[in-house]
Amino acid sequence: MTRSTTIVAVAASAAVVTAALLLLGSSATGSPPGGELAKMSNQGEPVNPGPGQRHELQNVGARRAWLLAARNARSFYRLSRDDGSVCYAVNSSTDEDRIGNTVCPLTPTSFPTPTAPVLDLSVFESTSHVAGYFHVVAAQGFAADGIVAVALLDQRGRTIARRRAADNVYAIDVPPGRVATTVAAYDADGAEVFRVP
Amino acid sequence: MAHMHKHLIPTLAAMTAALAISVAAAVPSSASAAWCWPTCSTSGLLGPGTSTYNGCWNSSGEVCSGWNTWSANGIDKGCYPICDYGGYTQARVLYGFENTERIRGFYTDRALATYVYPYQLWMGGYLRAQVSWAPYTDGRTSYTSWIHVGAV
Repeated sequence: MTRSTTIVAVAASAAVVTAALLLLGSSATGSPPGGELAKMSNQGEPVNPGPGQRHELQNVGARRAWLLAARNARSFYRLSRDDGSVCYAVNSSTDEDRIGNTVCPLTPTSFPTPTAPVLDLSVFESTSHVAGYFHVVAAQGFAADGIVAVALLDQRGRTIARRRAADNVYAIDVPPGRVATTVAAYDADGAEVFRVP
Repeated sequence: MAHMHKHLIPTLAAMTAALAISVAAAVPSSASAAWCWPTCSTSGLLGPGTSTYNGCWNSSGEVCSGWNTWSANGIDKGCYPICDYGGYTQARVLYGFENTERIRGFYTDRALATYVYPYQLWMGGYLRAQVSWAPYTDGRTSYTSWIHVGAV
């Protein structure tokens, strides 16, 4: 076997191993494809649901819930359905026997991903009938491990509030007297990787 | 052509069945839903010209229920017209509730199922459940959404 043949053989073997690892959905380091933007480490604490929570779980076909975090008077939940799919919910009411607004991504692998590292459940409002004239009432949502901060921006793109994303959740109240129109999320390098709307 | 039909018809039948199952699981059931769009067993295209012609906040680009003391609004947004592995559809909507003073809700351009409660939007009393077409402002083409809506 010549030297060049050996190099080609080694390269081909490496390519096959790499392809196999990608097909298995993980890299050689054990990270999912997409790295920190495609991973949520916080598994949460199991919840013993009350009657109101059980009713809201049933509404989305879920049976079990885990509390990921409580932040800014909101509770953030991960829900599991019998078919193995996962939903996420935020309870922003004062009634603790609630699960809250619930979003169920298409598949368990739909969130988080590098193109969707944030599952935003921020409330937007308009009091004008002019199309597109919306502002943020409250920012809240779920974020991948790779999201380190979330900010509220005004109409000119200036930051009016910025908070660290921790435990894979974030919650930001709009400062009194300010108007936020955008929610933006940033990675460890400070790069904006997601925004709503 | 006959070859294509041979495969297309079973495929469409399977897609229809899958859609019906996902719709049934995601939004208020036909038996319990007090309002559905376009019907309680189908999905429809929500775009800039869509309207329920019943006095919604926006005269077009929105579907809304009648006035009621709604307890929940659910949507099932399908993988259409595009759909990557994260469910991105390039077709954004704002879903929630409205009254005579304001419209409130959440944005999404992902294929997903959701359930939103008025009290979580700090709203109550007589409301309309609504879903609005929400075009992008960053230059992206905004497609119409394939969606099913149900409120109870």
